[in-house]
Amino acid sequence: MIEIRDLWFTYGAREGPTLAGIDITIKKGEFVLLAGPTGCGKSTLLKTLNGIIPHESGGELRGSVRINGIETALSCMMELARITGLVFQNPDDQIFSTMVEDEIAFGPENLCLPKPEIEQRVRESLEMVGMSKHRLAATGTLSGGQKQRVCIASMLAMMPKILVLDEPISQLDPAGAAEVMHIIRQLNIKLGLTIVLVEHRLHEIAPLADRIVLMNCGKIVLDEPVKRAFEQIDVFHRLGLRVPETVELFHRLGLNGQPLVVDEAVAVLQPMMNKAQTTGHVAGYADLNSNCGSYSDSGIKKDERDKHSKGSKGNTHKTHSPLISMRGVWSGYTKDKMVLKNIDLDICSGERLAFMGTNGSGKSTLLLHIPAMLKPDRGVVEIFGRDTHSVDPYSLAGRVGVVFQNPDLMLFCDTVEDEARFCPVNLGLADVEKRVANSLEAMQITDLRHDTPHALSRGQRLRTAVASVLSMSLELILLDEPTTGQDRVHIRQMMEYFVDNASTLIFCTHDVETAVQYATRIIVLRDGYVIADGTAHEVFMHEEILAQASLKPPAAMEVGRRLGLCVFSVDELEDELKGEIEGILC
Amino acid sequence: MLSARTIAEPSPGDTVIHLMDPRTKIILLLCAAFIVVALDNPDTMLLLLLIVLSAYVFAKLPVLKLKALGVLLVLIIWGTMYSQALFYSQVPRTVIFTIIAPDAPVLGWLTHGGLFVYKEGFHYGALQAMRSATVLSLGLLMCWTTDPRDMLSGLVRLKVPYSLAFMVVTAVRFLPIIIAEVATVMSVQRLKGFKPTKFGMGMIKTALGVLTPTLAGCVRRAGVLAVSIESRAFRAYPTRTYLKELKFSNLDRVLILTAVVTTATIVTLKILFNLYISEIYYSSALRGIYAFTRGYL
Repeated sequence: MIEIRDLWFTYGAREGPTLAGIDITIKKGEFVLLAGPTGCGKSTLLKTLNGIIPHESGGELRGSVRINGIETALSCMMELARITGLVFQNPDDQIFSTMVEDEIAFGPENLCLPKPEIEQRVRESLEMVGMSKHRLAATGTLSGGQKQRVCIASMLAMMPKILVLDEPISQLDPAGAAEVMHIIRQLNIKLGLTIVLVEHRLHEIAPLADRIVLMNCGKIVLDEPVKRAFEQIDVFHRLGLRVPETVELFHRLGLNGQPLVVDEAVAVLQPMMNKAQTTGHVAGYADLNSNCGSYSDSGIKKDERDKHSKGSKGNTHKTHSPLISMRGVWSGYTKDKMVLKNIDLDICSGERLAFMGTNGSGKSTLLLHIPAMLKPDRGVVEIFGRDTHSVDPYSLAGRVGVVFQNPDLMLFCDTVEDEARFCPVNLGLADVEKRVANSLEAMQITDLRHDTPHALSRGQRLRTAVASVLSMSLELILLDEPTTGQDRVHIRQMMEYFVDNASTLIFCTHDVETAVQYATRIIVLRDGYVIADGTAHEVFMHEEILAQASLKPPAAMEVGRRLGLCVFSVDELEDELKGEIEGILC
Repeated sequence: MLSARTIAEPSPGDTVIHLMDPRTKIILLLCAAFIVVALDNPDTMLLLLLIVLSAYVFAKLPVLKLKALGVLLVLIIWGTMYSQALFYSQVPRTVIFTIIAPDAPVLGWLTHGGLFVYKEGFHYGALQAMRSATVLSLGLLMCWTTDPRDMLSGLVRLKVPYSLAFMVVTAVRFLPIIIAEVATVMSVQRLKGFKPTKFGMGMIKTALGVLTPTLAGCVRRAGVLAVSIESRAFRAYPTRTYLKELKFSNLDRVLILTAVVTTATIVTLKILFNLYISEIYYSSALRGIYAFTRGYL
């Protein structure tokens, strides 16, 4: 279906090729997962698949790309577009209609198909993505996952043979991502569509794909069927890519096999555990087990949750008075629809708080109430001991750093360095250069200091945006979705910087693993209510809470739970299991 | 941030105005444009403006939009009237207020004989203001009560080339998002301790600071959108088919007929009247028409 031979591509303005000798053949009906660090040429490769390169983009192309037997360079964009459907990261950039039906009908209408056929294609495409009920819905009222499904349906209406998706789930919440992935898998199996998908969230996609292709610096460095790909786990590590936690665990324990899903891992580990138990290797194992049991059985009674949160408050109160306190906060954009409902919250210095929940649960709204950008309709929000109703958000400049969901809107200087210099210069702080150097260093972008921010990759732009606020002496850092489109390494570097500096950090995220690993406290929101508030251990023990907020526990935790262990990360699980496994293997 | 979007986006509804065919609305707007240019009588013009404004009552728009309209109208009407009152240059003119006397030192010479507020200028300004206000109110009413998709179909059915209509409507659709982004950028800058200055070089710097990220965002978004619609065979053929057909209701037919006939009549009468005034053509049979035109149009 796709045949690429010795493909070289250089963008006009850049030195050095972006693609350097790509050779790959993709068969009909294959599901290929393409991954690699940011800026490795993945997106460029995708563009060659539907003819944007070389037809719509400047640059020099050498080599051959054959799609369905057609040499792309000799064909035209329109012909290629009908073979290859493209879906991008952000559905909002692709949908231009105000009604779902129009969006789907757009392509067939352009092809001058007769009305009954358009009608049929619209109906079938919507059916395939499970959106038939929403045919006449306004596109603005859909959730992220639904919008992305509409984008896929609008491509399906063109009846493509290949579906190319560029990070289709990176901007979706876990529930939306699961919806979309399920649909993609269905299309692959039922319609036999060839799928090429780029994604950072390897651990979520890998179990669905047939084959993994890794790229680095414009070259393909690994091309294996999924089952065998993780045998070369060091390649993934070297490129800073996330591998499924179960694979990571088996690798560290020195076990054979690369289980992609929890079930497989448990199937191997369970017998070992049983054996260990009978031979008495696990001391205190039974205790742990009963502990976990009591947590998950106890459900989510409100009073119990209060006890939890009060407990944690009590501890911190002894040493600090809260930086931020919210009492009975209600807030909404319109009078009849409240986004936040009766929020009570105290946040103390040194805490790292994660707000979690589905899209539309009120995370971002809650975040913006903290720096007085939004004011509550009812109740009181206090920051640094002052009621936000009387605080001008801009007077907090220099004490509170806010990084918005879209980092692009935060970058307006000519170079990365200027971006970091902007705040301290405006605030008239001392040691400007030292601050700039420190913040660039902290975000690992010192080598990009003279680059234009908007020419960087998304991950780099986000880090620049964070660096631009870090150069102030902040008492509080607020980040909205800092993990979107980021490599594993960079998330780690960024979060470890905050941990090392004992910064008070509040962030919204869908990324369960990051939250569990770096947040000292997790707040789960649903429909504007706080439904859980506590440490990762406390929150993630309640399966019902997780289900309500459509959160999936990290794989390591799930494996641990099935084995009856209270663990939250691969590290902990490794520690728990290492002794036993070694005991058995000996 | 949100109020900006509320003002820019259409409010859905099922009132008479909302249900009108988009083609009817576009034709009405065109007719209004012709009429306001043709009309010179302030009383009739006021009547027209009031008719347009009364349509807002039927459309049941949210208060925020009405407020926005109010502010715009006050600005336009007051601004036009005042500037015309100051700079009215035709004679006869009556001074009702002196701002700078002709014999004032330096200023009198600078302003070339003083600065006055003229009564006729006020009248003339009022007329001009009502012209702009009428078209503006009608245009906004149209945008606020018509879904962009209907606007697109309407334009295309009125023989506007599809690519052009598509571009116009898509631009309008993304406008609210861009407005929201500008608001975000401005608050980001202030959160970073930047104090926007209102005058001089500072103003340019502020504007550039806002433009860079917004434009970068637009370019990026436009790129994605372009590829996305290209891959759905946009403009693959000179024509295309349409899934949805528009249908005129009887009300639409009546409105269009009335509007077109009225416009044609007014324009014809004005032309005849002007021919008579400029002594090119005169017929005694048309004296009744001349009198009517002089009196009411």
